[in-house]
Amino acid sequence: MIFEQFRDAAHRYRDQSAIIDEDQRITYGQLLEHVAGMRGWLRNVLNPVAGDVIAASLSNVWQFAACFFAVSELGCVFMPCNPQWRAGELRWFAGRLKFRGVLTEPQFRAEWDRLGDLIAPHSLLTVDHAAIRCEPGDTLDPRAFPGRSEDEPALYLPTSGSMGMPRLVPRSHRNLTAGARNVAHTLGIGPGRRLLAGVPFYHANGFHNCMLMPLISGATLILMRQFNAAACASLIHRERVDAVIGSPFLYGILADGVADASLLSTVQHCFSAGARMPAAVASRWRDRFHIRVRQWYGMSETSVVSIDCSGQEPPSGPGTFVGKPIRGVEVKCLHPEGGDLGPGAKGELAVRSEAVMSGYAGEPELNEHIFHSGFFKTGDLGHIDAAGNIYLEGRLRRVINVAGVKVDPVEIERAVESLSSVAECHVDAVPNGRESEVIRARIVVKPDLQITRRDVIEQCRQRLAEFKLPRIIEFVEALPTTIAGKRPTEWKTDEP
Amino acid sequence: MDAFLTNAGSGEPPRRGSEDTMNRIRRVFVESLHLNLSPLDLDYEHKLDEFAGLDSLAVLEFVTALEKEFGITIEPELLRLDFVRDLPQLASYIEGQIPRSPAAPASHA
Repeated sequence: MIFEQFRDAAHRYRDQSAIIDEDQRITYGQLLEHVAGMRGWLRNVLNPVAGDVIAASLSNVWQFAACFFAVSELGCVFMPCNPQWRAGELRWFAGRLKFRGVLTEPQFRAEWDRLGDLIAPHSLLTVDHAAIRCEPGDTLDPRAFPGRSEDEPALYLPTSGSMGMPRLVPRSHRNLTAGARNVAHTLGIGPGRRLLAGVPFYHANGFHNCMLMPLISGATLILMRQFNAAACASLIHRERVDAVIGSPFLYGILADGVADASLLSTVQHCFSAGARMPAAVASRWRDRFHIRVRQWYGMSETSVVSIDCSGQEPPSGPGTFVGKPIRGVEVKCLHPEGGDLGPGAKGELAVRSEAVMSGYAGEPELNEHIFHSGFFKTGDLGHIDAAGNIYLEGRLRRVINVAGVKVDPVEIERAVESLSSVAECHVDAVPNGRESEVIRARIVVKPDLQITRRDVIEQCRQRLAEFKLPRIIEFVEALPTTIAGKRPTEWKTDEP
Repeated sequence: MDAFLTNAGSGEPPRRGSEDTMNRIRRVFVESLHLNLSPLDLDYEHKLDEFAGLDSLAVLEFVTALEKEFGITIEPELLRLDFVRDLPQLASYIEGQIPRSPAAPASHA
């Protein structure tokens, strides 16, 4: 079980530094004690049974890790939530998963407080920044977990759908262990490695690779609470960070904003995931910091699929080079009709490994169609060359990628179309001139009615997390029919 | 810094930056965020975030571009939408951050 992986690492590396979170320096032994204390507190307050789901709305704080391991030790399932979600978005998940409890920070409570009909006030818990002390008798059970299966979910990860509704990805104990071990092995992460978490833990990459992977491997995890380039560079220097896991957005900001390149002198490896790394950013990193930022490719459903570990300039070929499959992962390319394609041919990438989920939660019909001979169909287009290198060339479905985060355009269209003056809205992504994308909403206003950009923005702000706000808002006479196409089936939302 | 943000409570009118600074900021705003707008569309009656949906990443992109444009550093505590959305206030702050060159007059009357 995933808790045992952590517990074994904590015993083996007891005095090693596990987490550095601002002025807090927590060893593996101390973290295990915090987990025991957290677990005792949760058991007393929530009285959960195995299989209950406990949600968390937390930023990158050490308590995130302690909460996850405490929840999994109790046999419960952890669900990380994006603190930017509004009440309507939270309600969708709370209604389906029936949270036993919610762990949040004080500044993120407000939207949860609006779900009083679904979450009893006593089960909405605030994790403050003081350590929770162990009570006597709060020792963790040293035995293996009787009657529990490695294939039960330990985690639910939300992921963007493409029909206006999110999807839930169950991550089993087996999935999490295999994914973390394979990444750690491929990257050589273990005791003595000092890794900076440059992406949020509540997203798949952050959870799997910034939080879980280092902590079951004996490495030291350095956290960054507020992001600005100067503070990040000082942190890297002060804590002698040797590896950074980030996104193209992070590397872009650092490339421009770090005045003194020598602050990054301890960094040996930088990994970027979530979206394509702009060539200009990659060049600036090579020229200023003499570091080649390496791409990696993965998703909530599979964890990491491939990493560029070659240490050389990427080979040329159409699409974005994302390396070779990591240990334990097989990748193939599928023809639209379903057969396997040979090297160089473009098709849908499909993945098989112990880290791949067995299917979306609560979607039995969808799950019939997402596997081909045991390989998960990713929805990504690309090709694999004769040497086994993987190249990404696009997506099959309408999903927008904003700074590495997937966004469902239909959700935004629905929010805008709920305004009474709006006839129709189409949302897509447009390039921002830095090889990344921003969200654009094109809106047809009803005849003789008025609307301002401000009206649209306010409506979206009320209903949607801020990363889903359309950056560009245009009013048009009509939407091109080739783009608008058929409307997706109307789903009822649970909004009050 | 708190005094800067709350000086309206003292009965004085909020300070406004110069037209030139505000025009430069408007240009940086539309260029750095790749908005399909002209700087002239950003009238002074509205706040900047009424013209585009801005999240915290957009604020960061905008502020980074302002720092480059004016050769200044903006205090991390001000990396907030409620601060950067006010164009006259932002212009006044930026002018206060620009280092005076050695050749400039030592004091104002």
